[in-house]
Amino acid sequence: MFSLSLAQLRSQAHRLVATAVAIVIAVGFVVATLVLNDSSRQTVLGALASQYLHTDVVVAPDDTGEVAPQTLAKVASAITGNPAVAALTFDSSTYVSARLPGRAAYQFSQVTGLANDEVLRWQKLEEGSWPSEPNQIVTAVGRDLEVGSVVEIRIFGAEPGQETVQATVVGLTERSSDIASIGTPLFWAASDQARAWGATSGGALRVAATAGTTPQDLALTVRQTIQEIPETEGLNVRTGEQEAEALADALTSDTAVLANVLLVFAAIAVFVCALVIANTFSVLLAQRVRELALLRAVGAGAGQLRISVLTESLAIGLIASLLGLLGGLGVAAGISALAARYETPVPLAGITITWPPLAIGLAVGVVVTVIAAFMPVWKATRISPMAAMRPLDDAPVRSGGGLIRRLLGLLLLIPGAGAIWWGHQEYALHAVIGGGMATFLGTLLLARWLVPLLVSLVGRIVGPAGQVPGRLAALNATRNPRRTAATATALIVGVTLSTTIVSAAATVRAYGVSEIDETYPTDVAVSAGQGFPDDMLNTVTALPHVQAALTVTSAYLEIGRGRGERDSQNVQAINPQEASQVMRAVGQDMPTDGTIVFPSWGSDEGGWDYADGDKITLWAGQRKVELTVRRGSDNLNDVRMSRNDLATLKTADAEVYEIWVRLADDLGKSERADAVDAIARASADADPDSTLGGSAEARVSADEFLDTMLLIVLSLLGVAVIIAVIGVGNTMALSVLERRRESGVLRALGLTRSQLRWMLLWEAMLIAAVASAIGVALGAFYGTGAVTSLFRLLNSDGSDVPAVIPVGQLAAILIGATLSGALASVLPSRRAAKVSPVEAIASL
Amino acid sequence: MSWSSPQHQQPGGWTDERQPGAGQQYRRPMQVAVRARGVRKIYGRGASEVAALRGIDVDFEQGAFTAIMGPSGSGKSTLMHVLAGLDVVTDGQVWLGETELTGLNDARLTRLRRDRIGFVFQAFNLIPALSAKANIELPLTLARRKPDQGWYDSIVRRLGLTERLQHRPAELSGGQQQRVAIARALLPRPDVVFADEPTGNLDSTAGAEVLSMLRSSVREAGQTVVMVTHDPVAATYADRVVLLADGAVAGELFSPTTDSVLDALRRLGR
Repeated sequence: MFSLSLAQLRSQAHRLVATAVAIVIAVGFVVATLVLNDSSRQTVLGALASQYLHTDVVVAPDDTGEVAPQTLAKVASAITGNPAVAALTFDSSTYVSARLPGRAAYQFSQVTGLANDEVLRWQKLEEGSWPSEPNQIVTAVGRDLEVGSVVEIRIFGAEPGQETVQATVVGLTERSSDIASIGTPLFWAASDQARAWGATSGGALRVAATAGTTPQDLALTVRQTIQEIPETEGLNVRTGEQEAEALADALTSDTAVLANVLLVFAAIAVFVCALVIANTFSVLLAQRVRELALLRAVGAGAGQLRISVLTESLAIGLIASLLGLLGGLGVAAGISALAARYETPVPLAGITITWPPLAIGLAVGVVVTVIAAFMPVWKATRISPMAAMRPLDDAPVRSGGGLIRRLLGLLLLIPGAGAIWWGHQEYALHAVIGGGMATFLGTLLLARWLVPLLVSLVGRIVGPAGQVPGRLAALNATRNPRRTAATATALIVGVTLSTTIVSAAATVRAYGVSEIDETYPTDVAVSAGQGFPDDMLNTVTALPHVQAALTVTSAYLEIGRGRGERDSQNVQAINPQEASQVMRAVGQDMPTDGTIVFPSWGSDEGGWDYADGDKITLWAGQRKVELTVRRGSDNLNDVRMSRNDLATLKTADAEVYEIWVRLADDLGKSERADAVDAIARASADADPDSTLGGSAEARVSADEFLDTMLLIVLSLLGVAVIIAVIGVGNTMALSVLERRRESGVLRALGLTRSQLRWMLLWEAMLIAAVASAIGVALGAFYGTGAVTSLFRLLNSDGSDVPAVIPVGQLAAILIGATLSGALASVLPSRRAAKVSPVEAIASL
Repeated sequence: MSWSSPQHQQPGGWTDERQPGAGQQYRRPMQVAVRARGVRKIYGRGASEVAALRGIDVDFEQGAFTAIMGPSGSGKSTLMHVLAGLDVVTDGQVWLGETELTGLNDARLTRLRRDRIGFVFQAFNLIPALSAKANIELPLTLARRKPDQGWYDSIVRRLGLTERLQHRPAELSGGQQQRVAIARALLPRPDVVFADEPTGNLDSTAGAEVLSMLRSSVREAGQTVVMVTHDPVAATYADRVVLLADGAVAGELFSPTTDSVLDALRRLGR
């Protein structure tokens, strides 16, 4: 029987190619994820271990952070001179704003002092030298900096006139030295320099032991010393090794979460792959019904047949999984090589190959293949020996007995939908998620009934457009409802998940934009530093992409109730008419003529005790004006009045405070960035100390974040979609083989080659279109539903977030999936059209 | 469904009732429907070269029922395939009426098959997804032509398919399926119907019915029919038998009887 399995495999190899490709992709995904996770942890551990190689003991505050900065200094002086201590250093650091060469914006960055002592200086210099002069820094490679680059550093809390420093990069360390500073650029400076820039509080005290002293002994000594110093309860004393492990755990916990997320996507890919495998085997075995029956007739037991066919699936699973292992390792190595050269969210250097990921990948591939093949095998091997004697039956397969399946599907679908609705009403996110899963499973169960129904419906509608091939395709697509449904299900899974993500992102984006508009009602706000020249407004208005701009003036006025006490108050004045043209949302914070708006927060904290509707008076010298008070929102930080009211006071010392700019509405991302850049340059020319704010930048960065997330998630789900599309092509290829004779007859009767090709393309497109339409509908519902339910829960006031359905993107998914279905069947249909009618008819 | 013999059929069964006498126009004796000249067909190359047809000259008369007979491997199926434009010749010429088939490209051959040739196969070869009616109309649908309703009705009634039109092939008996196939071949009024062992998959009763059908379509509607068979009884339904041996014409018989056919075949065998 085993030799038979192998012979079958050899003779059917070409029919199993697509299945093998699906398995290779799925296994490769699993293996790459696991290997990268291992590698990342190994990278971090390796880097940190080298970092603490010469550090024997670390004294650091624990998480409670209740240790005064001076305490560490006291500890340091107490142990200095101890015979066990060879050297010690503070890893003191501070935060600064740094502007890299060629960049417009400042970036939040960290400056850390280098150990003075060579032994404790763990950074590995790759290029250049260590800092020896003032204003010199070292950084890790991979930040677009070279030796000689100049970084502009702004120091927080520095003396006026000394805030900005031009620091020169004199050395570059290895990438791995930077391992702990993901996201925030990290610069190293000589410890004195770092202290001068504000690095006064130490993060940790690192101590090196003298020769002959073990780290454990040193730790003991340090602990004893510390006990004699007051207020040191919050200090941890650990050996270098312990510290490295603790840090590595903290650093890789994010990576582990990422790996789990990736494994969810891998599981989806494996599930889709299982559907494709099951489908392939049921088609292959259907084609071999006579042969199986013949084997039964000559004396093979059903069990023997089963084992024989399962052996085939085992072999294909094993071969494909091994290829998948190699592929996965290759991908992991590629990603790692790429990541080692750039700053990535996951630290990576080289790959670490351990047995577990390989074993898991292999097991997943083989077990999934055999399990997926089991049902079709079990069904096919129940064949009676008599079937070999009967003529080949061309009867369309009727799928009977779907009643239980249909009932189960409805049992999941209806209560699931109910749970979603209830959860949405009652702020129960768990119910929404559970309901979503139940309805999805229900839909998949109903697919065998729903998909053929929709295919024949759609086929009847669009069939006439495809002439005869179109109509034949519609009929063919529903000939084997089970196969059509299984092919479609694989695609439904991928498309539903992709659409869910896309719709969720669209809803979040729309909500984010409305939030940004509310928080920053202006696109760009330029605040004066030393003061703008009078024609600043004209300069800004003339810039490209600027649609409108207004000036906010500010003046110090005296305010008070009638005859009561007067306070001096800085008040900003805005022209309400101009504001409505410049601002995206003129909210409650905008004054009208005759009103003055105060922030909402001042009332309790001893600020302004004016309430809504109070009448107050403003004086500028002898002139005065009476205004009605309104309390604004939380977002308002200033007191605002109308420009017209300020004009009646004729105050002389009103000056330009801010210029608000509205950009054109239809700007692309890069145009918006250019516009912001131009405004920044113009205002820096006019006033070097001016600063920029507003929604344009926030919007650009929010967009970038969402786009990046979307791209990552979609490319991960793309793997599942690709496998599903391979499945569509596979089903078509197998159907083509099965209907070889029929194709020959059609050709003999006058169907042209191109009509035959069209017929098969139509069939594939019909299945793919119906599957992706179901997926898109489900996904749009899930995506918007999940986000609106989530925000309902998060928004304290329970206000609803409007669901946004990204029609364009969903249409693109629908069309894309349909076309890839067609694309996947190009090869099978070409092969079918090439066969001469004589051969096809003869091959009984 | 019982088959009523031609004798019991109401008169004029084959003629188009809307165009009385239309059947007569096919009666043009001595016109050649299909002509083959020097046809050779060679499969393979070099050592594995097999000559299936070695120079065949033969005419098939219009409005006649001709059977092609010969032992296995004599090339009778190959001859039919090249005559029907299903396969291309290695050498020689084939005409369908005034049209030379040899040298036509695939698309033009396909169109020619669709418009001017009908097929009846041994294995029926109906399209399983289509109903009997849709199967019958398929060649015309492919040609985007509307069936002539009178002709359609008369064919369906004559073949006793009226009650079976909505059934799928799988729901029909072998004889019924072959009658659907004959209806499919006759409906477009092709220049010639090629039948490849049309009784091969049928029992003798159903086979006799099918052969009577083919013969009466020739007699009453002037249809040209060329049938490949190895069954001497089937050949007796034909007006003429062309005998093939080793890829060449080995003789012919007119008004064959079972005995004369068997005798001719025996002589070929020697």
